[in-house]
Amino acid sequence: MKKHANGSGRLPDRQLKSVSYAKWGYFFIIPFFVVYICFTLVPQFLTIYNSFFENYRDGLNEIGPNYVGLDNYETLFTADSSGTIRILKYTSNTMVMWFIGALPQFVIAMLLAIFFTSARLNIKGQGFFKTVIYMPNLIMAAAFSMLFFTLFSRVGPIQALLVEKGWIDASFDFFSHRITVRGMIAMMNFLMWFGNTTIVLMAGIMGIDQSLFESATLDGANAWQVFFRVTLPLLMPIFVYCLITAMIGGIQMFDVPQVLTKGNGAPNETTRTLVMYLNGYLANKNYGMAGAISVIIFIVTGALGGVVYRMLSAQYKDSSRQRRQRKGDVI
Amino acid sequence: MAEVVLKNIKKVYPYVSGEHKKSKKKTKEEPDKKKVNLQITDEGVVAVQEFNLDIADKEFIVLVGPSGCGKSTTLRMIAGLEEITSGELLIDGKIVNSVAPKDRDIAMVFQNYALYPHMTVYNNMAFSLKLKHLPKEEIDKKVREAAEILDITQYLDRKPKALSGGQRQRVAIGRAIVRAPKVMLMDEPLSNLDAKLRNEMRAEIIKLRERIDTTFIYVTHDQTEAMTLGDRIVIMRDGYIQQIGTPQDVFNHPANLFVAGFIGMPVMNFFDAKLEREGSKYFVLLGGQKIELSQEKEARLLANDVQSQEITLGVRPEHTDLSDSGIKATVDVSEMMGSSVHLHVTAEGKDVIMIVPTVDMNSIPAMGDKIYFNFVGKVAHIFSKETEKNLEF
Repeated sequence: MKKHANGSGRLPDRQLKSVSYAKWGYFFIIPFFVVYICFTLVPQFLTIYNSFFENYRDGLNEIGPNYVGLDNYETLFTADSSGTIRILKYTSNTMVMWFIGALPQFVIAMLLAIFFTSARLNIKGQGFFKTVIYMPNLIMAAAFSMLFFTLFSRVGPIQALLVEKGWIDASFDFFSHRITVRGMIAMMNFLMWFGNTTIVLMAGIMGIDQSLFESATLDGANAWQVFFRVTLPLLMPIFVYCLITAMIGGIQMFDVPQVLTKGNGAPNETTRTLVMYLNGYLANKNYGMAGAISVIIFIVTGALGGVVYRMLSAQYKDSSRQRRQRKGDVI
Repeated sequence: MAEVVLKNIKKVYPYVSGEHKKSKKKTKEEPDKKKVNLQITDEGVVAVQEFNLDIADKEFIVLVGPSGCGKSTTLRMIAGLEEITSGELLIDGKIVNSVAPKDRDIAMVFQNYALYPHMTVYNNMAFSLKLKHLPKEEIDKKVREAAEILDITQYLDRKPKALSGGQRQRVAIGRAIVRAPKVMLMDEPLSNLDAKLRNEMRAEIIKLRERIDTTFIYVTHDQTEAMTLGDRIVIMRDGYIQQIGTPQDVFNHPANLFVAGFIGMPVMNFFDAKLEREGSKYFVLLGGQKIELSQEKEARLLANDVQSQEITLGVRPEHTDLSDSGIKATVDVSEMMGSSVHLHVTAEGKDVIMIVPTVDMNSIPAMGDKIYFNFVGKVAHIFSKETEKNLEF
């Protein structure tokens, strides 16, 4: 070994300190930050900035940008001639359609996740089933909407089948009833996302130590008690993650209702979502109002993110407090 | 408190579809190739077979063996966590093969503790009692009593994450004892602890056994744990029981070469030797020495009508003595262990370990020294070269 000045064969302390690999870490994350700043952070600030301006196109005339303060927000929360505050109506539409799709999505996903991860059942051909249930998530939402539009149209096979069975009248139109259109949108969202949720929940369940289930069984717990007292509490962080991301996705619901209702939120704007509302302003190049809607969506999304952060930080505080307690009294 | 009887228990893990096809294809391509591993059969991988054991009420039985010998599988079958392929399992005289784990009235301590991370120590211990819908006061009394026994009262409000390994293991034991089960199963409960803590916890388990007075079935791969804890030891290998006996029994009279090598630390020395029969007298020829066997051993060999033959001779390191004449050896390594020195020597082409007391340090040979050692016939273990069985059995 080559000896150094101190004769020990080790590098001098000064040289040891100068060796640092941290800079390479920073170097490798630069591309992400560049892309993030250019395409996310700056547009976010510009969106907030635009929301305080009157800035739209009227025919061939470009109006603004003129600073109007909170006028755009005020407009959003002002009732129209029919007495409806549109943003609340569209928020309600969005959340209702999300909820009726998300409820079966989570129930079915949880059941499938438990079914596939059960050591006792030891389901064969898991890889095949996982691929099949994930497939709908790979289909483009617009294509999926077109498929449903075709299936449920007045001349589509579903209509024909149901009329033939005598269950509906030939004059029935799926697209002229609030309940059926909302149902179709919820169904599409459910079909597209339950596979994804199943895979994530399965990963969560598989991350739980199998011996905990065995221990609970030996402790006298039946299947329900094992699920509610062991599986669900331990799966909660993953479950909350799925729930929050699904809610964020739900708030941003756009392509499915847009394509299915050709952008008009039929019938009677009962399926128009927040982002469809936003899109309407963007089509008129009304960046002020579009910005204000975006900011509201951002606040709602941020609030949900805050819930997750608080839950996680509460867990961290709990464990760090216990670690502090543990000092000095280890057996 | 219960008697546990295992009658001809067998456990086979069937092949999953892919494995079976592969093995079938391979058989077609290589029809002459014999299956070397006896545990792999056409029906699947055999984990445990021909397992017969009667465990008395309040007995502490230890299943010991190397990894993959089937000891944990056996324990899990008793717990009901694994199905029994064939055979009968009786607890308190009742066949429980198809009884659900929760209805067998057994508790189990897992190697990795298996504490519910989202519950406090108190709730972990109270979990099974709550499921039984016992009154709150009774649950509280039982949990606090168990915590007192295990000295974990001060940790009842904590979650398992905030405990050390030793504390977690105590909680796991506490969770099992609050139920006052008929049978207490322990699956390598000390394996995750460091050596010092393991020794302490071993002593704790011995004390605990005196206090809770139930039937214990304990699995370990550590022969020291097996020897110190068990009333009887079951030594397993490749799914078969090799020997059942008290610690003293298996140490003094190992049934075969495997048991002889597995039990005892340092391991038994083995030599290629010859057994000579002269009428009713038996001698062992080794390294030009003619070693006379004890009358007891001779009687057993005679009873089995053992003839002169090539044998594997086993002698424990603690039964070898340095001498002026005897079997010649060269010292390779000398390890000072405090009260004794472990000499690693080469004799008769084999690596041999001798334990030499450190009463007179000047008499301890150094590395490279030529020495002679001896042993008396009554400590010699005689194994068949062919069957590896102890010829005295």
